[in-house]
Amino acid sequence: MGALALVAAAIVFGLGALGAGIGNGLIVGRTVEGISRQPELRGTLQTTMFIGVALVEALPVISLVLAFIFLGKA
Amino acid sequence: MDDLSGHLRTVMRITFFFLSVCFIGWALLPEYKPLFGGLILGAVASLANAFHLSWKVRQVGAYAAAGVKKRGNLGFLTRACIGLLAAVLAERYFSFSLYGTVAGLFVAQLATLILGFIAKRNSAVRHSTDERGENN
Repeated sequence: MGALALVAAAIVFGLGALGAGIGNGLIVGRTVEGISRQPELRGTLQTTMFIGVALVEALPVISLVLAFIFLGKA
Repeated sequence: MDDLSGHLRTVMRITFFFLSVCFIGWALLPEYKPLFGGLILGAVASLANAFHLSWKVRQVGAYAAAGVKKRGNLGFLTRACIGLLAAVLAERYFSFSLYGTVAGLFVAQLATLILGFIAKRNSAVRHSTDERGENN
């Protein structure tokens, strides 16, 4: 049980962080590109970026908490 | 007031409404106190995360608009630590439900998602009528 819990914690946080890293990179990259091209659309692009990043980052935050729950059970 | 401030204000309003519902549940249903306490703690942490994220998004936008070549980050570690702090406080100090806390961490994100869909739909409707010249 102990070793399996450690593996579960590693998998849940590792995969969550991997997905969030890719997603955040895409979102921030495209937003910065858009703001650089059209600075007058900064407000709209920032709001879209906020929505995207908030959704992407919900998963790794939850996975971090779950990982620590698994570590507590180990 | 820009788009992001208005969006954040609506998210804050929805989260406060959720908190008020949770406090009413806390007061009226004593047997579910740990669950409602966890939801309250998670929702507060979620709101703090939303404010921190908006600050960081503004910072990144300002750097991009000014053309500053500076490495910015979105401060994910801080937000992850806020979520973890809420979970640890719920588990160790207040004896709240951990599942309720984890569910509460979704509140601001869920509000953001729903508001984003609504805003996108409204802008699409407005845009299509503008193109057809119905509003002119």
